[in-house]
Amino acid sequence: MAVAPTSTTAMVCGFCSVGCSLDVIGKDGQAVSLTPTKDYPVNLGMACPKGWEALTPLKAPDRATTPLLRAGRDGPLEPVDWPTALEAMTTRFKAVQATYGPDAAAFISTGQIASEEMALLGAVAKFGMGMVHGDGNTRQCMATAVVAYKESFGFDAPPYTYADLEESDVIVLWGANPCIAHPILWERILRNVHHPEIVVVDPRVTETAAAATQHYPLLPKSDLTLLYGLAHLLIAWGAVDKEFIDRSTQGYEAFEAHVEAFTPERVSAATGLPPDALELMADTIASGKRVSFWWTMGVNQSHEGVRVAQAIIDLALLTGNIGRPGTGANSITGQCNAMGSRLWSNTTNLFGGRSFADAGDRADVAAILGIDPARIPDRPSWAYDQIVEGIRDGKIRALWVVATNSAHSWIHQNDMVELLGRLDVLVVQDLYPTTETAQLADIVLPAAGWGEKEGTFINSERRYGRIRRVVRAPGQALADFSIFKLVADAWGCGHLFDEWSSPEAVFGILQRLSASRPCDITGIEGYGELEAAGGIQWPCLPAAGTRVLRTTPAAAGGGPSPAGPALAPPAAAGGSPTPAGATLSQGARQQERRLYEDGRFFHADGRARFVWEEPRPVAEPTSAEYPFILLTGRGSSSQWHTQTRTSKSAILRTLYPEKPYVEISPADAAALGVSADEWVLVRSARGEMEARAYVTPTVAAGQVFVPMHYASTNRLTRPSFDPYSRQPSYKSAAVAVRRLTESRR
Amino acid sequence: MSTTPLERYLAEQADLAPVERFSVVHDACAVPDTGTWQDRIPLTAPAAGQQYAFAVDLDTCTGCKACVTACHNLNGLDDGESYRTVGLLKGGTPAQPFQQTVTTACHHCVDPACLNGCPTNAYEKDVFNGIVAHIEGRCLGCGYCTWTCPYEVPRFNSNRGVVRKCDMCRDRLAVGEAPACVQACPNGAITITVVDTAAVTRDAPGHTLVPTAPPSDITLPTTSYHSEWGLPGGLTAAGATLGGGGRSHDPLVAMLVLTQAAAGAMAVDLAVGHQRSTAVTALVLALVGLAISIFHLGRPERAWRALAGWRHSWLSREVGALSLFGGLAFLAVATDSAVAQAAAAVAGLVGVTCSGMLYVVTRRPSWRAAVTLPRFGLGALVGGAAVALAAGGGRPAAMVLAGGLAAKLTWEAAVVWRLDPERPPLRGTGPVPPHGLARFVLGVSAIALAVSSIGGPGAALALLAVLSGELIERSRFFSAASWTGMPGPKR
Repeated sequence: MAVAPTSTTAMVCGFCSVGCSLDVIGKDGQAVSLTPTKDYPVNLGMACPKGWEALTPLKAPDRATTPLLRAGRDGPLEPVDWPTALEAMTTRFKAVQATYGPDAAAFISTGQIASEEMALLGAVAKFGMGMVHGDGNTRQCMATAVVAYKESFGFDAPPYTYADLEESDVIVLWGANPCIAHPILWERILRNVHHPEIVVVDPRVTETAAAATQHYPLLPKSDLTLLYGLAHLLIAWGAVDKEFIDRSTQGYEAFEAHVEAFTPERVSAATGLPPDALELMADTIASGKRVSFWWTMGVNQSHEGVRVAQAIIDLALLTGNIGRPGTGANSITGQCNAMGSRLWSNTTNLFGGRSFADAGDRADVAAILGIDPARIPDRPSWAYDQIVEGIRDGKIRALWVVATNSAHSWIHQNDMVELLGRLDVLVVQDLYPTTETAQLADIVLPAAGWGEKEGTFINSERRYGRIRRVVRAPGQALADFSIFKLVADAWGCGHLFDEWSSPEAVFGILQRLSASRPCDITGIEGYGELEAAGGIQWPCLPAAGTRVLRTTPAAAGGGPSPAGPALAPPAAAGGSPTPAGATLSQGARQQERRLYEDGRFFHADGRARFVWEEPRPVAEPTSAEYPFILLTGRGSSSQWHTQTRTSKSAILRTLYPEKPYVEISPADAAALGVSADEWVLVRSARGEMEARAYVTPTVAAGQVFVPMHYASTNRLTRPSFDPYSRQPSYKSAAVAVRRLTESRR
Repeated sequence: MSTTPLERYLAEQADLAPVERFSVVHDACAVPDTGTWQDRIPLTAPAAGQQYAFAVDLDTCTGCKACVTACHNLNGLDDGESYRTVGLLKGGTPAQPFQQTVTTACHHCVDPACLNGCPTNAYEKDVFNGIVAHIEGRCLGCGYCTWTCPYEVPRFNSNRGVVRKCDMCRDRLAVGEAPACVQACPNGAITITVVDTAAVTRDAPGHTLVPTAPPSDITLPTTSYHSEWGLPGGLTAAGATLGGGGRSHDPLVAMLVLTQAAAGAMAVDLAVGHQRSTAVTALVLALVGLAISIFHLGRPERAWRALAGWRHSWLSREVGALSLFGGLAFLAVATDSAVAQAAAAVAGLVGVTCSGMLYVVTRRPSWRAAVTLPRFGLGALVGGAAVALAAGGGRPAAMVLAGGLAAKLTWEAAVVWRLDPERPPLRGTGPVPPHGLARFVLGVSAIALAVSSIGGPGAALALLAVLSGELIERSRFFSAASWTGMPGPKR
């Protein structure tokens, strides 16, 4: 041990949604190092490389230490003090709103800040500053799962707990590569003692596919057909759970009729998988006693992702694989607080999964927050892509981007950069003024990062966990929470948020907002219990018998909600419908809890829905000019999204290629005359990038793969969107590849 | 005193007191329970004839690389430094594509080449547990171990001027705690086992640790890699390892060319007729060459330690022989004694041989004896003859130079620069690089000058051409060296 510590502070990691806990080791009041928390129910003493290096990006020399203001339209960003920056921001936003209407100013939030912070941002922007449109970068990762769950289950409530990975006898990983994207979930899979069949559905032989027991390399974006084909076989074989279907679902007959047409021949032709492979896969699912389905970006980032996710849910409903240990149709989310964004960002949904369009919901929220209901917009926000189009149409003139890097990550990057340049005012709030987006900003607000501020994240399995201030932020950088408070004050609406005085106070507000909702957390006794319990999954009701760590129940954070009756406590539920149409897990507050154990869902009739639709072709098929399908995705476990933070760590930089690379099959490389490690030009109808050829049989002929972390990747991607979730389809574009001559390099 | 909200927030931002609210506070000497992971290490220490070894389960290594960052963090290593790397093997068939990540640290060999090559005895192999450890305080930063280790485990740390490597976290093991990489693997793919050294020795011939790794009979590595599923044939590494420590070899190039020319000159001078100016020139070249070699050391102030490993290190022997050569050359010049000069010539040629051997014993294909020894020997001959000619050696020196250089260029064309397409290349394939052509132009010019102008400025020009050509050729010796190592990652 290099350092004798004086304190250890456990907090959840700030990268992905797995939500590992890290013990930050303090020496004389400052964090000096960290190790993964051994007794946390998520990661059990392990972390991926990003987690191990979580403190390093905070020490980067290019941290933003003061607000920056661009001198003139095209001048450089120059340091200014906070009052100047806030004055410039509010003056310009108000000017835009005065000229073009209040909805001409919008914000882009994030899955990277605390729930309390995103709630404050959503409240200040919409209730205080009069904005209507705001969305999050979670649109790029989670929107599809949200919409799918809402429609199928009646609420955006993923059913699972990570322990399900350890209890399945069949684990189906659909468009997911946990070995690289969520290594700690792979750890949980390897802890499964039931010798599970591990089925991977992915066009590439990913690390996960290589480690699985079965791999189905379907043609890209043929997922929906394959899923319906599996349903077809399962129904034909009678391998369905009729009792569960009758008791807990709606729409089965029509679904059965729909999948009738998905014969093995048709499915085989569409997916490129031989009929016997389809049969093996269906048989594996049929013979499993506890089958769990897990999906990630291979499903969510698709032109028909919602229907694909729902087809996975359909399979789970069909076979009764839900609500029991080791089962579920389970979305693994992306960012550390993607789920916080789903519940508390106040963008698409009004707080707590409510609807802006619903007058009752608005009145509800207004009463809880003590504000005038008229301050709450009566329509939902535009989605991210609609805000982007709003800039093109001149309807969005001022944009406030918080903790995301749109100029790198948004699809069809050249267009995005051009559009950001058209704004009257662009404010970027980030740790670094060096991100591609901050470099385009008129005003940069210096933010404190993970480790420098307080709050909670919610992980993929609905678990609230704490983040804390263990490091001093550099210079004038402030927690996003403080920045939102300052903006509210500068705007003149600060008085509306007097009660929002600290992250912990806001947590109490969120508890009140959650009361009687499926996401009820009124039972959590503040930050103290979150810490002591090792994170707590929602829902968490203040019912007798649910405490694990406290002997004497204390008053819950905000008390019971004044609006509506509380959700029936689990002990008393006994399978009868609650006002929300669902009951929740029984018994003591265990560390690992799943939903729907009584077969009741959140629709008013308590039944889950079969949802389906005819598959649609991709927006951009390959052509003679662009003969390859471009797949994008995570390159390594050491890189996080646009590399804003992970690129600051020297040890992480040793773990992936510094220069962009494109994975290409040996057959295609040979046909193009490209040898290993040669530079090639990858070109789409929208842009081009130079990349080193990584020749590997793990990508199929006719496909190429480029990691999303390189700044040039999204020059290629095509802006098509799922019509329901508005999530961009990052994994489907037509590109050409050619060898770069020596002179070109 | 009233404060503005901004002042309050800034003060809050700097206040870490809330941490204490939820922190587990330790007294000064306690450490947090980060886990010992005792199930991943042996219950008992190795007995006689046994040692500790890493064991890797390839089936559960899925390439997350947590081991690399855990090694970096738990050992408090420098920026970007880790003793563990993760490479990638790929291959299979279009119908059954395959990839396998391979995590690697020091193999704590039974016969460690780092230790054998080290001129300062900076390596120790623990007689009880077999751990090969490096003692930083003894290291002079010559980097020779980065060549002798076929796995390229020791890495030169340019900030510290020394080499560093894995010691299997021996301090942790000593207190019953698993090494950093072992305890950090989410999948438990890395464990510590106890192996019989006799079995390692017995199994090494014809064996490699994983496909593309160097032959195990060089150093008898103890790490074992297991796969229940087996690996298909024909796998290739995704990328190369670091290769030669990534350092400039220019000082060594100059040292080799100059000391060899000097040693050759002492000998040629005696053979073709003694000129005192030849011996003087040779002495100057020798001293310059030896002085330049110091620049290759990360910690030149420790150069005096370089003889300590003479029992096992060809580098120590080279340093000893060439130093002796320098001393005798000085004596020869000072006394103008033929006996002293003969002794100097012998010491010099022994030194040249040691120079050659220190590369040969690395067992890198491009440095095999048939490539290295003729190169250095002929280098001494032509360098020496050129010095003798320039110092007034006349026709005999010119003839030796012309003949020797013609022979060396012919040999180089066939072996070093691969003008003969039938011969297997030293490394890779490809045309002769431009500097190779320059080398031949210089060489042929030197022959022409030697033959046409026996003395005067032409002879001096010939010396310049010979030394320049030799410098180019000797650069090639390093730049075209074959690096081995474990499978590397994508680069």
